[in-house]
Amino acid sequence: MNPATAMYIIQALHGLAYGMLLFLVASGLTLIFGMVGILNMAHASLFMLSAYLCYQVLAFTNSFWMSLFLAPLITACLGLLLERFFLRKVQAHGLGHIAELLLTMGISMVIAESVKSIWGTESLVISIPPSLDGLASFAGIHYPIYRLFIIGLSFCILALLVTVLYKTKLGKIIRATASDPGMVSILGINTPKVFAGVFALGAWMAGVAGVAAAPMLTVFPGLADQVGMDAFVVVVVGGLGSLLGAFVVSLTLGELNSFGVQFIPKLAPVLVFGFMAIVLSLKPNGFFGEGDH
Amino acid sequence: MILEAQNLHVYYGLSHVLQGVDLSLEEGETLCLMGRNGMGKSTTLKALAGVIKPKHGKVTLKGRDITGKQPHQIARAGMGYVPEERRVFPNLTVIDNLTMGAKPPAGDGKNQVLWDVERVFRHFPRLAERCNNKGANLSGGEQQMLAIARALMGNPDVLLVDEPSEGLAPIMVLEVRDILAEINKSGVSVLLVDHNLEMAMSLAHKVCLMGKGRTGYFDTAEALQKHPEILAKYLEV
Repeated sequence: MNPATAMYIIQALHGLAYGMLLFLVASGLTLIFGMVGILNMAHASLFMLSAYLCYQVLAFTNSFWMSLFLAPLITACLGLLLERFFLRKVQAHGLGHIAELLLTMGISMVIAESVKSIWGTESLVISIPPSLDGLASFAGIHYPIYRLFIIGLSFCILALLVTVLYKTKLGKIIRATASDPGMVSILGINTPKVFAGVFALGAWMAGVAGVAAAPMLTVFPGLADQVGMDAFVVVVVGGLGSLLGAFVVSLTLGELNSFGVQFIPKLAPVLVFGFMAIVLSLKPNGFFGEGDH
Repeated sequence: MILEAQNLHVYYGLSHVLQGVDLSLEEGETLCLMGRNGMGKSTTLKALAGVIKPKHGKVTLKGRDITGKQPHQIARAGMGYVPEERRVFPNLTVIDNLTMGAKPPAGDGKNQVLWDVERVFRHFPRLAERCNNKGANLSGGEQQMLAIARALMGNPDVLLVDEPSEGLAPIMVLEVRDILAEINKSGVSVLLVDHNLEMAMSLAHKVCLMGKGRTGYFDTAEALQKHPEILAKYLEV
């Protein structure tokens, strides 16, 4: 194969891997926003925490698969506790979205500082599990197996999410709650429970992304800010509350990052925000508007 | 008595909107709640469905005290509520709108006909035709049908319906009226709020008239028809 074509394919796959990770984080964020109208500032912190938990579980069990199972589960449980004992209390007082924003921001700070005090400020290196190490070769291209694994895993979770949301009664309830929670409760459904479930699901997906990202990105206390910022851009540009929007924009950002670094490395860090500014000036509600799934 | 409200008081901030509402609905009856705009009819239905909490008073459904309960608890106890704005889920298809809140009857359901998708589609053929359309793409009349049908899928003992004829073409008003009559015949007790006097009188067994946040006149529809001056007092502007 022509080396230039190979380079394009490799960059596109890099973009896809990062874009899919971003989608796992952003989809939880946008689902939660769609349901209760709050941007959960602590969402990316859960992603980071799961990456650290992955490190810890690896240290105990020496099994990447065990961390992939346990770390997101612990993260989801933590998400459930945060929702039950903090967010729900603040919501019940009807203090408005500012209070919820401040609360989640506070939680993100507590997580960031806890992480520093437990694991230190140094970057942690998590090695790729041996079974996924090495390169896959196809059509003259050599590509890291681990990144292909991330792409595959993310697509499996995407398929699971779409199946739950569009093929099950629970999914219908979740989508209805996103558009009119008051009416859903009039129909006899306990909406706070639905919301808690969605919150936990979002935390779980962020947790899976955290574990998957751990061997690929560096695990350090600034990880939440790095990925969190991109996830916010995804949610805003995709249209607050829109899952399809989050998917499309996650992949776009992934590719923008990947090709940006390759062709205009000096401008790569601002490309994402330039993209957001342009889209928002043309479509202020983002690509897929509010509540449109 | 399947549904009873005693001395309900509701405030919106400082304004005292319901100032003592008393209602009673017998099993199998249709009761029509009427009055001029702003007299508290919709607020009464909201208070009964638990959407707003009354400050004083008591609501019982099938003898159970449901005062101050959450809307989903009241719905599970056997109350269906079709709000004035219809609130069809715009992003869900007709069939998803219907099935998402479907549940069996609250009690033993022995006096009731069971409502499921099949039965709903038989009574609402228009919805069957549009079963894969999104809620947002329905006409006003179709949305009203869907809102009523969706409430029926919860197999309520009591159905509260707020202004079902509002904004509908005359032919659709007749269709809605016939459906409400059938629903009542199937064993569901209905509490109806509507401005359409003709429709209300043709459906109601009893009528309750409201003025300034209070319930006043309460009698059978036949008795009321003999006293046009009472109707005039409560309804004429």
